[in-house]
Amino acid sequence: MKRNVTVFIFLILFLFLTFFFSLIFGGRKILPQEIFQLLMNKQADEILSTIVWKIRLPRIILSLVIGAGLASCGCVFQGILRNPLAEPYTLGISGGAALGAVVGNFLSNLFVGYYSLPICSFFGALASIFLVYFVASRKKFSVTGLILGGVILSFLFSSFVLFLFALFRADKFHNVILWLMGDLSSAETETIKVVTFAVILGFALLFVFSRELNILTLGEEKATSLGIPTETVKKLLFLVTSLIIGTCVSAAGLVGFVGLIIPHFFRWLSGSDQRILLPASFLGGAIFLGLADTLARTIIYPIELPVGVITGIIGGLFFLIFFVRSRQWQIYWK
Amino acid sequence: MANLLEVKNLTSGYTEKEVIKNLSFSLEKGEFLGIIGPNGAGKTTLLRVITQILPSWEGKIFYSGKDIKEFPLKDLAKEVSFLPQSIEIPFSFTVEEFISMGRFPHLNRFEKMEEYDYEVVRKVMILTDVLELSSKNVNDLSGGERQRVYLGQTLVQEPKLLLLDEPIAHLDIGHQIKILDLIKKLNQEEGLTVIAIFHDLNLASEYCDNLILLNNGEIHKIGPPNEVLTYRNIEEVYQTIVIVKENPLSSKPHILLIPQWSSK
Repeated sequence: MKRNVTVFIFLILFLFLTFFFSLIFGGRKILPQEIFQLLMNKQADEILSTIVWKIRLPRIILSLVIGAGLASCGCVFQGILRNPLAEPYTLGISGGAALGAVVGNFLSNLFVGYYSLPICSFFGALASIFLVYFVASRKKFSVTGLILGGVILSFLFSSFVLFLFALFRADKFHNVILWLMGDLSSAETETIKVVTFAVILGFALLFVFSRELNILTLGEEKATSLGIPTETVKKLLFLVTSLIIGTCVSAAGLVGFVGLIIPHFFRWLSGSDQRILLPASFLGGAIFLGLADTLARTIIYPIELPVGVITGIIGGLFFLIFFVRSRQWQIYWK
Repeated sequence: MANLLEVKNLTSGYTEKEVIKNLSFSLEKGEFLGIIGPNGAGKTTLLRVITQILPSWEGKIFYSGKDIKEFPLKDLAKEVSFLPQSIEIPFSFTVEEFISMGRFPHLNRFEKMEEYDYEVVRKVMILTDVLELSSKNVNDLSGGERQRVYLGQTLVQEPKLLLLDEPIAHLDIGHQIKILDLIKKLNQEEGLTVIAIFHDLNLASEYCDNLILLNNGEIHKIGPPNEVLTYRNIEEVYQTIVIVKENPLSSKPHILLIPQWSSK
Protein backbone atom coordinates (compact mmCIF):
# COMPACT_ATOMS: atom_id res chain seq x y z
CA MET A 1 0.00 0.00 0.00
CA LYS A 2 2.74 2.43 1.05
CA ARG A 3 4.71 1.43 -2.00
CA ASN A 4 1.83 2.41 -4.26
CA VAL A 5 1.54 5.82 -2.64
CA THR A 6 5.23 6.36 -3.37
CA VAL A 7 4.69 5.30 -6.97
CA PHE A 8 1.95 7.88 -7.41
CA ILE A 9 3.92 10.67 -5.75
CA PHE A 10 6.79 9.99 -8.14
CA LEU A 11 4.45 9.83 -11.11
CA ILE A 12 2.93 13.20 -10.38
CA LEU A 13 6.38 14.67 -9.82
CA PHE A 14 7.61 13.21 -13.11
CA LEU A 15 4.54 14.52 -14.89
CA PHE A 16 5.37 18.09 -13.81
CA LEU A 17 9.01 17.61 -14.72
CA THR A 18 7.99 16.27 -18.14
CA PHE A 19 5.78 19.26 -18.64
CA PHE A 20 8.52 21.79 -17.92
CA PHE A 21 11.16 19.79 -19.73
CA SER A 22 8.97 19.73 -22.84
CA LEU A 23 8.22 23.42 -22.56
CA ILE A 24 11.88 24.35 -22.37
CA PHE A 25 13.30 22.14 -25.08
CA GLY A 26 12.62 22.71 -28.72
CA GLY A 27 13.80 24.58 -31.78
CA ARG A 28 14.22 27.68 -29.66
CA LYS A 29 15.41 26.80 -26.16
CA ILE A 30 13.42 28.66 -23.57
CA LEU A 31 15.06 29.44 -20.29
CA PRO A 32 13.12 28.79 -17.07
CA GLN A 33 13.38 32.47 -16.11
CA GLU A 34 11.81 33.42 -19.43
CA ILE A 35 8.78 31.31 -18.61
CA PHE A 36 8.68 32.94 -15.22
CA GLN A 37 8.78 36.38 -16.81
CA LEU A 38 6.07 35.36 -19.22
CA LEU A 39 3.83 34.29 -16.38
CA MET A 40 4.55 37.42 -14.33
CA ASN A 41 4.29 40.16 -16.90
CA LYS A 42 2.15 40.26 -19.98
CA GLN A 43 4.40 42.63 -21.95
CA ALA A 44 6.82 39.88 -22.76
CA ASP A 45 8.52 39.26 -26.05
CA GLU A 46 5.84 38.67 -28.68
CA ILE A 47 7.66 35.83 -30.39
CA LEU A 48 8.38 34.08 -27.13
CA SER A 49 4.79 34.43 -26.06
CA THR A 50 3.58 32.95 -29.37
CA ILE A 51 5.97 30.02 -29.14
CA VAL A 52 4.95 29.19 -25.59
CA TRP A 53 1.21 29.79 -25.70
CA LYS A 54 0.32 29.04 -29.30
CA ILE A 55 2.80 26.39 -30.34
CA ARG A 56 4.44 24.54 -27.55
CA LEU A 57 1.84 24.45 -24.79
CA PRO A 58 -1.05 23.08 -26.91
CA ARG A 59 1.18 20.41 -28.36
CA ILE A 60 2.49 19.34 -24.94
CA ILE A 61 -1.03 19.11 -23.60
CA LEU A 62 -2.04 17.02 -26.58
CA SER A 63 0.90 14.66 -26.14
CA LEU A 64 0.17 14.17 -22.43
CA VAL A 65 -3.52 13.60 -23.01
CA ILE A 66 -3.09 11.15 -25.88
CA GLY A 67 -0.43 9.19 -24.01
CA ALA A 68 -2.71 8.96 -20.98
CA GLY A 69 -5.70 7.91 -23.07
CA LEU A 70 -3.95 5.23 -25.11
CA ALA A 71 -2.21 3.71 -22.08
CA SER A 72 -5.54 3.48 -20.20
CA CYS A 73 -7.17 1.77 -23.19
CA GLY A 74 -4.27 -0.70 -23.27
CA CYS A 75 -5.00 -1.70 -19.65
CA VAL A 76 -8.66 -2.20 -20.44
CA PHE A 77 -8.15 -4.31 -23.56
CA GLN A 78 -5.56 -6.47 -21.86
CA GLY A 79 -8.04 -7.07 -19.05
CA ILE A 80 -11.12 -7.77 -21.14
CA LEU A 81 -9.46 -9.84 -23.85
CA ARG A 82 -7.19 -11.47 -21.25
CA ASN A 83 -4.31 -10.86 -23.58
CA PRO A 84 -1.10 -9.18 -22.38
CA LEU A 85 -0.28 -7.98 -25.91
CA ALA A 86 -3.58 -6.25 -26.58
CA GLU A 87 -3.70 -2.49 -27.08
CA PRO A 88 -5.47 -0.13 -29.51
CA TYR A 89 -2.72 -0.30 -32.13
CA THR A 90 -1.84 -4.01 -32.09
CA LEU A 91 -5.53 -4.93 -32.21
CA GLY A 92 -6.11 -2.82 -35.32
CA ILE A 93 -8.60 -0.61 -33.50
CA SER A 94 -6.57 2.56 -34.02
CA GLY A 95 -6.48 1.60 -37.68
CA GLY A 96 -10.26 1.37 -37.78
CA ALA A 97 -10.49 4.77 -36.11
CA ALA A 98 -8.10 6.18 -38.71
CA LEU A 99 -10.25 4.92 -41.56
CA GLY A 100 -13.25 6.42 -39.81
CA ALA A 101 -11.47 9.75 -39.43
CA VAL A 102 -10.69 9.82 -43.14
CA VAL A 103 -14.31 9.19 -44.03
CA GLY A 104 -15.16 11.96 -41.58
CA ASN A 105 -12.69 14.24 -43.27
CA PHE A 106 -14.36 13.69 -46.64
CA LEU A 107 -17.77 14.24 -45.08
CA SER A 108 -16.80 17.35 -43.12
CA ASN A 109 -18.20 19.61 -45.81
CA LEU A 110 -21.52 17.85 -45.64
CA PHE A 111 -22.35 17.84 -41.94
CA VAL A 112 -21.23 19.05 -38.48
CA GLY A 113 -18.07 20.46 -40.04
CA TYR A 114 -14.95 19.74 -38.10
CA TYR A 115 -16.65 17.43 -35.59
CA SER A 116 -17.39 14.84 -38.23
CA LEU A 117 -13.75 13.74 -37.88
CA PRO A 118 -13.76 12.62 -34.25
CA ILE A 119 -17.32 11.35 -34.57
CA CYS A 120 -16.59 9.14 -37.57
CA SER A 121 -13.32 8.11 -35.96
CA PHE A 122 -15.24 7.03 -32.87
CA PHE A 123 -17.54 4.86 -34.98
CA GLY A 124 -14.53 3.45 -36.83
CA ALA A 125 -12.97 2.46 -33.51
CA LEU A 126 -16.24 1.04 -32.19
CA ALA A 127 -16.84 -1.04 -35.32
CA SER A 128 -13.34 -2.52 -35.25
CA ILE A 129 -13.51 -3.29 -31.51
CA PHE A 130 -16.67 -5.29 -32.04
CA LEU A 131 -15.18 -6.97 -35.09
CA VAL A 132 -12.08 -7.97 -33.09
CA TYR A 133 -14.11 -9.05 -30.07
CA PHE A 134 -16.62 -11.01 -32.14
CA VAL A 135 -13.94 -12.86 -34.06
CA ALA A 136 -11.82 -13.43 -30.93
CA SER A 137 -14.70 -14.94 -28.95
CA ARG A 138 -15.81 -17.12 -31.88
CA LYS A 139 -12.47 -18.44 -32.95
CA LYS A 140 -10.71 -18.81 -29.59
CA PHE A 141 -7.48 -17.27 -30.78
CA SER A 142 -4.23 -17.79 -28.93
CA VAL A 143 -2.57 -14.73 -27.42
CA THR A 144 -0.34 -14.17 -30.42
CA GLY A 145 -2.96 -15.29 -32.95
CA LEU A 146 -5.26 -12.46 -31.98
CA ILE A 147 -2.44 -9.93 -32.19
CA LEU A 148 -1.42 -11.22 -35.60
CA GLY A 149 -5.02 -10.69 -36.71
CA GLY A 150 -4.95 -7.17 -35.27
CA VAL A 151 -1.74 -6.27 -37.03
CA ILE A 152 -3.16 -7.53 -40.32
CA LEU A 153 -6.30 -5.50 -39.74
CA SER A 154 -4.21 -2.44 -38.95
CA PHE A 155 -2.23 -2.84 -42.15
CA LEU A 156 -5.42 -3.23 -44.17
CA PHE A 157 -7.00 -0.12 -42.69
CA SER A 158 -3.89 2.01 -43.24
CA SER A 159 -3.70 0.87 -46.84
CA PHE A 160 -7.33 1.81 -47.37
CA VAL A 161 -6.64 5.24 -45.92
CA LEU A 162 -3.75 5.81 -48.31
CA PHE A 163 -5.77 4.45 -51.20
CA LEU A 164 -8.66 6.81 -50.51
CA PHE A 165 -6.36 9.80 -50.26
CA ALA A 166 -4.47 8.90 -53.42
CA LEU A 167 -7.83 8.70 -55.15
CA PHE A 168 -9.49 11.86 -53.85
CA ARG A 169 -6.91 14.16 -52.24
CA ALA A 170 -3.57 13.44 -53.85
CA ASP A 171 -2.38 16.91 -52.80
CA LYS A 172 -2.58 15.90 -49.11
CA PHE A 173 -0.88 12.56 -49.57
CA HIS A 174 2.29 13.53 -47.74
CA ASN A 175 0.41 14.88 -44.71
CA VAL A 176 -1.61 11.68 -44.49
CA ILE A 177 1.49 9.53 -44.44
CA LEU A 178 2.82 11.58 -41.54
CA TRP A 179 -0.52 11.40 -39.76
CA LEU A 180 -0.69 7.62 -40.22
CA MET A 181 2.66 7.32 -38.52
CA GLY A 182 1.34 9.18 -35.50
CA ASP A 183 1.99 12.89 -35.58
CA LEU A 184 1.06 15.62 -33.13
CA SER A 185 2.10 18.62 -35.21
CA SER A 186 -1.07 19.18 -37.20
CA ALA A 187 -3.64 19.25 -34.42
CA GLU A 188 -5.74 22.38 -34.00
CA THR A 189 -6.82 23.98 -30.75
CA GLU A 190 -10.36 22.76 -31.23
CA THR A 191 -9.10 19.20 -31.61
CA ILE A 192 -7.06 19.46 -28.46
CA LYS A 193 -10.10 20.54 -26.48
CA VAL A 194 -12.16 17.63 -27.80
CA VAL A 195 -9.43 15.08 -27.08
CA THR A 196 -8.74 16.40 -23.58
CA PHE A 197 -12.40 16.30 -22.69
CA ALA A 198 -12.88 12.80 -24.10
CA VAL A 199 -9.79 11.34 -22.44
CA ILE A 200 -10.49 12.73 -18.99
CA LEU A 201 -14.15 11.78 -19.08
CA GLY A 202 -13.30 8.37 -20.53
CA PHE A 203 -10.65 7.65 -17.96
CA ALA A 204 -12.98 8.58 -15.10
CA LEU A 205 -15.56 6.10 -16.44
CA LEU A 206 -12.98 3.34 -16.90
CA PHE A 207 -11.63 3.89 -13.41
CA VAL A 208 -15.09 3.46 -11.93
CA PHE A 209 -15.07 -0.01 -13.46
CA SER A 210 -11.58 -1.00 -12.36
CA ARG A 211 -12.81 -3.63 -9.91
CA GLU A 212 -14.94 -5.23 -12.62
CA LEU A 213 -11.91 -5.18 -14.91
CA ASN A 214 -9.93 -7.19 -12.37
CA ILE A 215 -12.64 -9.81 -12.20
CA LEU A 216 -13.14 -9.95 -15.96
CA THR A 217 -9.53 -11.15 -16.23
CA LEU A 218 -10.64 -14.35 -14.46
CA GLY A 219 -12.88 -15.22 -17.41
CA GLU A 220 -16.58 -15.11 -18.16
CA GLU A 221 -17.65 -17.90 -15.81
CA LYS A 222 -16.00 -16.47 -12.72
CA ALA A 223 -17.07 -12.93 -13.53
CA THR A 224 -20.73 -13.90 -13.96
CA SER A 225 -20.79 -15.99 -10.82
CA LEU A 226 -19.29 -13.07 -8.91
CA GLY A 227 -22.22 -10.94 -9.99
CA ILE A 228 -21.01 -9.07 -13.08
CA PRO A 229 -23.29 -8.89 -16.13
CA THR A 230 -20.25 -9.45 -18.33
CA GLU A 231 -21.69 -8.66 -21.76
CA THR A 232 -23.19 -5.36 -20.64
CA VAL A 233 -20.03 -4.26 -18.83
CA LYS A 234 -17.84 -5.18 -21.78
CA LYS A 235 -20.04 -3.28 -24.22
CA LEU A 236 -19.95 -0.24 -22.00
CA LEU A 237 -16.18 -0.39 -21.70
CA PHE A 238 -15.88 -0.77 -25.48
CA LEU A 239 -17.99 2.33 -25.93
CA VAL A 240 -15.79 4.35 -23.59
CA THR A 241 -12.51 3.13 -25.09
CA SER A 242 -13.84 3.91 -28.57
CA LEU A 243 -14.49 7.45 -27.43
CA ILE A 244 -10.90 7.78 -26.24
CA ILE A 245 -9.30 6.06 -29.22
CA GLY A 246 -11.53 7.78 -31.76
CA THR A 247 -10.69 11.28 -30.57
CA CYS A 248 -6.99 10.50 -30.05
CA VAL A 249 -6.61 9.03 -33.53
CA SER A 250 -8.54 11.85 -35.19
CA ALA A 251 -6.04 14.25 -33.62
CA ALA A 252 -2.76 12.38 -33.93
CA GLY A 253 -3.15 9.34 -36.15
CA LEU A 254 -1.65 5.99 -35.26
CA VAL A 255 0.57 6.39 -32.23
CA GLY A 256 1.49 2.79 -31.53
CA PHE A 257 2.58 0.71 -28.56
CA VAL A 258 1.94 3.26 -25.78
CA GLY A 259 -0.89 1.04 -24.55
CA LEU A 260 1.43 -1.95 -24.59
CA ILE A 261 4.60 -0.69 -22.95
CA ILE A 262 3.13 1.43 -20.19
CA PRO A 263 0.73 -1.08 -18.60
CA HIS A 264 3.47 -3.72 -18.79
CA PHE A 265 5.88 -1.50 -16.96
CA PHE A 266 3.42 -0.81 -14.17
CA ARG A 267 2.30 -4.40 -13.96
CA TRP A 268 5.92 -5.25 -13.32
CA LEU A 269 6.28 -2.38 -10.85
CA SER A 270 3.11 -2.60 -8.81
CA GLY A 271 1.08 -5.65 -9.83
CA SER A 272 -2.02 -6.30 -11.89
CA ASP A 273 -4.70 -4.71 -9.72
CA GLN A 274 -6.47 -2.35 -12.14
CA ARG A 275 -7.34 0.04 -9.34
CA ILE A 276 -3.61 0.84 -9.22
CA LEU A 277 -2.64 -0.14 -12.75
CA LEU A 278 -5.17 2.02 -14.55
CA PRO A 279 -4.38 5.38 -12.89
CA ALA A 280 -0.65 4.60 -12.91
CA SER A 281 -0.79 3.88 -16.64
CA PHE A 282 -2.84 7.03 -17.20
CA LEU A 283 -0.09 9.16 -15.64
CA GLY A 284 2.75 7.03 -16.99
CA GLY A 285 1.34 7.17 -20.53
CA ALA A 286 1.21 10.95 -20.33
CA ILE A 287 4.83 11.14 -19.19
CA PHE A 288 5.96 8.68 -21.82
CA LEU A 289 4.33 10.37 -24.77
CA GLY A 290 5.26 13.84 -23.51
CA LEU A 291 8.92 12.86 -23.45
CA ALA A 292 8.67 10.95 -26.72
CA ASP A 293 7.21 13.96 -28.50
CA THR A 294 9.87 16.29 -27.11
CA LEU A 295 12.45 13.85 -28.40
CA ALA A 296 10.70 13.72 -31.76
CA ARG A 297 10.70 17.51 -32.01
CA THR A 298 14.34 17.94 -31.12
CA ILE A 299 16.38 14.86 -32.02
CA ILE A 300 17.18 15.85 -35.60
CA TYR A 301 16.15 19.50 -35.48
CA PRO A 302 15.23 21.35 -37.69
CA ILE A 303 13.38 18.31 -38.99
CA GLU A 304 10.57 17.24 -36.70
CA LEU A 305 9.81 13.53 -36.58
CA PRO A 306 6.29 12.19 -36.13
CA VAL A 307 6.10 10.95 -32.53
CA GLY A 308 4.94 7.56 -33.81
CA VAL A 309 8.47 6.97 -35.10
CA ILE A 310 9.82 7.22 -31.57
CA THR A 311 7.09 5.08 -29.96
CA GLY A 312 7.40 2.67 -32.89
CA ILE A 313 11.11 2.14 -32.28
CA ILE A 314 10.75 1.73 -28.51
CA GLY A 315 7.56 -0.31 -28.77
CA GLY A 316 8.85 -2.41 -31.65
CA LEU A 317 11.95 -3.37 -29.70
CA PHE A 318 9.84 -4.15 -26.66
CA PHE A 319 7.53 -6.29 -28.78
CA LEU A 320 10.51 -8.11 -30.24
CA ILE A 321 12.00 -8.87 -26.83
CA PHE A 322 8.60 -10.05 -25.69
CA PHE A 323 8.39 -12.52 -28.57
CA VAL A 324 11.92 -13.79 -28.13
CA ARG A 325 11.26 -14.39 -24.44
CA SER A 326 7.68 -15.50 -24.98
CA ARG A 327 8.21 -19.02 -23.65
CA GLN A 328 8.44 -17.66 -20.18
CA TRP A 329 5.27 -15.70 -20.63
CA GLN A 330 3.41 -18.71 -21.93
CA ILE A 331 3.58 -20.18 -18.45
CA TYR A 332 0.77 -17.85 -17.51
CA TRP A 333 -1.36 -19.61 -20.08
CA LYS A 334 -0.35 -23.11 -18.92
CA MET B 1 -36.69 -29.16 5.89
CA ALA B 2 -37.09 -26.38 3.41
CA ASN B 3 -35.82 -26.69 -0.13
CA LEU B 4 -32.95 -24.33 -0.84
CA LEU B 5 -32.94 -25.03 -4.54
CA GLU B 6 -35.64 -26.39 -6.76
CA VAL B 7 -35.11 -27.17 -10.41
CA LYS B 8 -38.27 -27.72 -12.44
CA ASN B 9 -38.39 -29.13 -15.97
CA LEU B 10 -35.14 -27.44 -16.89
CA THR B 11 -33.94 -27.55 -20.50
CA SER B 12 -30.89 -25.74 -21.80
CA GLY B 13 -27.82 -25.98 -24.02
CA TYR B 14 -25.58 -24.14 -26.44
CA THR B 15 -26.85 -22.35 -29.55
CA GLU B 16 -28.27 -25.28 -31.52
CA LYS B 17 -27.49 -28.18 -29.24
CA GLU B 18 -29.82 -29.17 -26.44
CA VAL B 19 -27.67 -30.50 -23.60
CA ILE B 20 -29.93 -30.94 -20.59
CA LYS B 21 -33.50 -32.06 -21.04
CA ASN B 22 -36.40 -31.58 -18.71
CA LEU B 23 -34.44 -31.93 -15.46
CA SER B 24 -36.27 -31.75 -12.16
CA PHE B 25 -34.85 -32.16 -8.67
CA SER B 26 -34.68 -30.33 -5.39
CA LEU B 27 -32.03 -29.76 -2.83
CA GLU B 28 -32.47 -29.37 0.92
CA LYS B 29 -30.61 -26.83 2.96
CA GLY B 30 -27.39 -28.37 4.26
CA GLU B 31 -27.37 -31.17 1.71
CA PHE B 32 -24.22 -32.36 -0.08
CA LEU B 33 -25.29 -33.36 -3.57
CA GLY B 34 -22.99 -35.05 -6.05
CA ILE B 35 -23.51 -35.00 -9.79
CA ILE B 36 -22.00 -37.87 -11.70
CA GLY B 37 -22.26 -39.10 -15.25
CA PRO B 38 -20.16 -39.67 -18.36
CA ASN B 39 -18.49 -36.89 -20.36
CA GLY B 40 -21.02 -34.77 -22.18
CA ALA B 41 -23.90 -35.82 -19.93
CA GLY B 42 -24.65 -32.18 -19.10
CA LYS B 43 -23.10 -31.86 -15.64
CA THR B 44 -21.25 -28.61 -16.25
CA THR B 45 -24.13 -27.19 -18.26
CA LEU B 46 -26.45 -27.71 -15.31
CA LEU B 47 -24.18 -25.73 -12.97
CA ARG B 48 -23.80 -23.00 -15.59
CA VAL B 49 -27.55 -22.56 -15.79
CA ILE B 50 -27.90 -22.40 -12.01
CA THR B 51 -25.25 -19.63 -11.88
CA GLN B 52 -26.94 -17.76 -14.76
CA ILE B 53 -23.90 -18.10 -16.99
CA LEU B 54 -26.15 -19.90 -19.49
CA PRO B 55 -29.80 -19.00 -19.97
CA SER B 56 -32.43 -21.68 -19.43
CA TRP B 57 -34.51 -22.51 -22.48
CA GLU B 58 -37.43 -23.94 -20.64
CA GLY B 59 -38.31 -24.63 -17.04
CA LYS B 60 -37.50 -22.75 -13.89
CA ILE B 61 -35.03 -22.69 -11.04
CA PHE B 62 -36.13 -21.51 -7.62
CA TYR B 63 -33.70 -20.40 -4.95
CA SER B 64 -35.26 -20.09 -1.50
CA GLY B 65 -38.64 -20.23 -3.22
CA LYS B 66 -37.88 -17.32 -5.57
CA ASP B 67 -37.30 -17.59 -9.31
CA ILE B 68 -33.57 -17.27 -9.84
CA LYS B 69 -34.10 -14.91 -12.78
CA GLU B 70 -35.60 -12.37 -10.40
CA PHE B 71 -32.31 -12.05 -8.53
CA PRO B 72 -29.97 -9.33 -9.74
CA LEU B 73 -26.69 -11.12 -10.57
CA LYS B 74 -24.89 -9.43 -7.73
CA ASP B 75 -27.49 -10.50 -5.16
CA LEU B 76 -27.34 -14.05 -6.43
CA ALA B 77 -23.55 -13.94 -6.02
CA LYS B 78 -24.03 -13.23 -2.32
CA GLU B 79 -25.90 -16.53 -2.01
CA VAL B 80 -24.37 -18.85 -4.58
CA SER B 81 -20.72 -19.20 -5.50
CA PHE B 82 -19.19 -21.27 -8.26
CA LEU B 83 -15.81 -22.87 -8.80
CA PRO B 84 -15.38 -23.61 -12.52
CA GLN B 85 -13.41 -26.56 -13.86
CA SER B 86 -10.46 -24.44 -14.85
CA ILE B 87 -9.44 -20.86 -14.25
CA GLU B 88 -6.72 -19.21 -16.28
CA ILE B 89 -5.26 -15.96 -15.08
CA PRO B 90 -3.18 -14.22 -17.72
CA PHE B 91 -1.75 -11.74 -15.22
CA SER B 92 0.06 -11.95 -11.94
CA PHE B 93 -2.27 -11.48 -8.99
CA THR B 94 -1.11 -12.27 -5.49
CA VAL B 95 -3.00 -14.89 -3.48
CA GLU B 96 -4.47 -12.21 -1.25
CA GLU B 97 -5.56 -9.99 -4.15
CA PHE B 98 -7.10 -13.00 -5.86
CA ILE B 99 -9.04 -14.25 -2.85
CA SER B 100 -10.21 -10.72 -1.97
CA MET B 101 -11.91 -10.46 -5.37
CA GLY B 102 -14.50 -12.84 -3.96
CA ARG B 103 -15.77 -9.99 -1.76
CA PHE B 104 -16.93 -8.16 -4.89
CA PRO B 105 -20.65 -8.97 -4.55
CA HIS B 106 -20.69 -7.60 -1.01
CA LEU B 107 -19.21 -4.23 -1.90
CA ASN B 108 -20.93 -1.26 -3.47
CA ARG B 109 -19.24 0.47 -6.36
CA PHE B 110 -17.35 3.03 -4.31
CA GLU B 111 -17.14 1.01 -1.13
CA LYS B 112 -13.76 -0.15 0.12
CA MET B 113 -13.02 -3.37 1.95
CA GLU B 114 -13.67 -2.81 5.64
CA GLU B 115 -12.44 -4.56 8.72
CA TYR B 116 -15.12 -7.21 8.44
CA ASP B 117 -14.17 -8.00 4.83
CA TYR B 118 -10.49 -8.33 5.74
CA GLU B 119 -11.48 -10.57 8.61
CA VAL B 120 -13.47 -12.84 6.29
CA VAL B 121 -10.55 -13.04 3.85
CA ARG B 122 -8.14 -13.85 6.68
CA LYS B 123 -10.35 -16.54 8.15
CA VAL B 124 -10.79 -18.20 4.78
CA MET B 125 -7.06 -18.09 4.14
CA ILE B 126 -6.45 -19.85 7.44
CA LEU B 127 -9.18 -22.37 6.68
CA THR B 128 -7.81 -23.18 3.24
CA ASP B 129 -4.25 -23.13 4.58
CA VAL B 130 -2.89 -20.50 2.22
CA LEU B 131 -2.13 -17.72 4.69
CA GLU B 132 1.63 -18.08 4.35
CA LEU B 133 1.27 -17.88 0.55
CA SER B 134 -0.65 -14.61 0.70
CA SER B 135 1.86 -12.43 -1.17
CA LYS B 136 2.83 -15.06 -3.74
CA ASN B 137 1.77 -14.94 -7.36
CA VAL B 138 -1.14 -17.34 -7.92
CA ASN B 139 0.40 -18.58 -11.17
CA ASP B 140 3.56 -19.67 -9.36
CA LEU B 141 1.76 -22.06 -7.02
CA SER B 142 1.49 -25.84 -7.32
CA GLY B 143 -1.76 -27.38 -8.52
CA GLY B 144 -2.93 -28.27 -5.03
CA GLU B 145 -2.17 -24.85 -3.59
CA ARG B 146 -3.83 -23.14 -6.52
CA GLN B 147 -7.02 -25.14 -6.09
CA ARG B 148 -7.16 -24.13 -2.42
CA VAL B 149 -6.74 -20.48 -3.44
CA TYR B 150 -9.53 -20.80 -6.03
CA LEU B 151 -11.75 -22.43 -3.43
CA GLY B 152 -10.84 -19.64 -1.00
CA GLN B 153 -12.15 -17.05 -3.44
CA THR B 154 -15.52 -18.81 -3.63
CA LEU B 155 -15.67 -19.06 0.18
CA VAL B 156 -15.11 -15.36 0.90
CA GLN B 157 -18.31 -14.78 -1.05
CA GLU B 158 -19.91 -16.25 2.10
CA PRO B 159 -22.20 -18.41 -0.02
CA LYS B 160 -25.08 -20.47 1.27
CA LEU B 161 -24.86 -22.69 -1.79
CA LEU B 162 -21.49 -23.76 -3.17
CA LEU B 163 -21.24 -25.15 -6.70
CA LEU B 164 -18.10 -27.05 -7.59
CA ASP B 165 -17.19 -28.32 -11.04
CA GLU B 166 -14.75 -31.18 -10.56
CA PRO B 167 -13.02 -29.58 -7.59
CA ILE B 168 -10.40 -32.32 -7.36
CA ALA B 169 -9.53 -32.96 -10.99
CA HIS B 170 -5.76 -33.10 -11.62
CA LEU B 171 -4.93 -33.30 -7.90
CA ASP B 172 -3.04 -36.10 -6.18
CA ILE B 173 -4.97 -38.24 -3.69
CA GLY B 174 -3.58 -36.33 -0.70
CA HIS B 175 -4.82 -33.01 -2.04
CA GLN B 176 -8.10 -34.58 -3.15
CA ILE B 177 -8.90 -35.65 0.39
CA LYS B 178 -7.68 -32.36 1.85
CA ILE B 179 -10.02 -30.31 -0.36
CA LEU B 180 -13.01 -32.60 0.06
CA ASP B 181 -12.55 -32.85 3.83
CA LEU B 182 -12.53 -29.08 4.02
CA ILE B 183 -15.74 -28.82 2.01
CA LYS B 184 -17.38 -31.58 4.04
CA LYS B 185 -16.39 -29.81 7.24
CA LEU B 186 -18.07 -26.59 6.09
CA ASN B 187 -21.06 -28.63 5.05
CA GLN B 188 -21.34 -30.34 8.44
CA GLU B 189 -20.37 -27.50 10.75
CA GLU B 190 -21.65 -24.40 8.97
CA GLY B 191 -24.57 -25.96 7.16
CA LEU B 192 -23.16 -24.98 3.75
CA THR B 193 -25.17 -26.59 0.96
CA VAL B 194 -22.99 -28.11 -1.75
CA ILE B 195 -23.43 -29.36 -5.29
CA ALA B 196 -20.28 -30.91 -6.70
CA ILE B 197 -19.50 -32.65 -9.96
CA PHE B 198 -17.41 -35.78 -9.60
CA HIS B 199 -15.65 -38.09 -11.98
CA ASP B 200 -14.38 -40.28 -9.17
CA LEU B 201 -17.43 -42.36 -8.21
CA ASN B 202 -15.86 -43.65 -5.01
CA LEU B 203 -15.16 -40.21 -3.62
CA ALA B 204 -18.67 -39.12 -4.64
CA SER B 205 -19.99 -42.11 -2.74
CA GLU B 206 -18.00 -41.27 0.39
CA TYR B 207 -18.78 -37.56 0.63
CA CYS B 208 -22.26 -37.02 -0.80
CA ASP B 209 -25.64 -37.39 0.89
CA ASN B 210 -27.32 -37.81 -2.46
CA LEU B 211 -26.24 -38.36 -6.01
CA ILE B 212 -27.67 -37.47 -9.39
CA LEU B 213 -26.58 -39.80 -12.15
CA LEU B 214 -26.90 -37.89 -15.42
CA ASN B 215 -26.98 -39.52 -18.81
CA ASN B 216 -27.51 -37.72 -22.14
CA GLY B 217 -28.87 -34.71 -20.34
CA GLU B 218 -31.45 -36.63 -18.37
CA ILE B 219 -31.57 -37.88 -14.80
CA HIS B 220 -30.95 -41.58 -14.92
CA LYS B 221 -31.21 -42.02 -11.19
CA ILE B 222 -31.33 -39.81 -8.13
CA GLY B 223 -30.97 -40.82 -4.48
CA PRO B 224 -28.48 -41.78 -1.78
CA PRO B 225 -25.22 -43.40 -2.97
CA ASN B 226 -26.30 -46.97 -2.19
CA GLU B 227 -29.34 -46.62 -4.46
CA VAL B 228 -27.58 -44.84 -7.31
CA LEU B 229 -24.27 -46.66 -7.39
CA THR B 230 -25.49 -50.10 -8.32
CA TYR B 231 -23.62 -52.10 -10.93
CA ARG B 232 -26.70 -52.06 -13.13
CA ASN B 233 -26.99 -48.25 -13.16
CA ILE B 234 -23.29 -47.75 -13.73
CA GLU B 235 -23.01 -50.32 -16.48
CA GLU B 236 -25.98 -48.85 -18.30
CA VAL B 237 -24.75 -45.28 -18.18
CA TYR B 238 -20.99 -45.66 -18.47
CA GLN B 239 -21.08 -48.68 -20.81
CA THR B 240 -18.44 -50.42 -18.78
CA ILE B 241 -18.41 -53.42 -16.48
CA VAL B 242 -17.89 -52.88 -12.76
CA ILE B 243 -18.20 -54.66 -9.45
CA VAL B 244 -19.78 -52.79 -6.55
CA LYS B 245 -18.53 -53.64 -3.07
CA GLU B 246 -18.90 -51.97 0.26
CA ASN B 247 -16.29 -49.80 1.92
CA PRO B 248 -15.65 -51.69 5.18
CA LEU B 249 -15.28 -48.50 7.22
CA SER B 250 -18.03 -46.25 5.91
CA SER B 251 -20.26 -48.99 4.47
CA LYS B 252 -20.75 -46.79 1.39
CA PRO B 253 -20.69 -48.45 -2.03
CA HIS B 254 -17.26 -48.83 -3.60
CA ILE B 255 -16.78 -49.42 -7.31
CA LEU B 256 -14.13 -51.68 -8.74
CA LEU B 257 -13.29 -51.41 -12.42
CA ILE B 258 -12.95 -54.51 -14.59
CA PRO B 259 -10.61 -53.99 -17.54
CA GLN B 260 -11.75 -55.89 -20.67
CA TRP B 261 -8.38 -56.63 -22.24
CA SER B 262 -8.37 -60.02 -20.42
CA SER B 263 -5.07 -61.89 -20.23
CA LYS B 264 -6.44 -65.38 -19.77
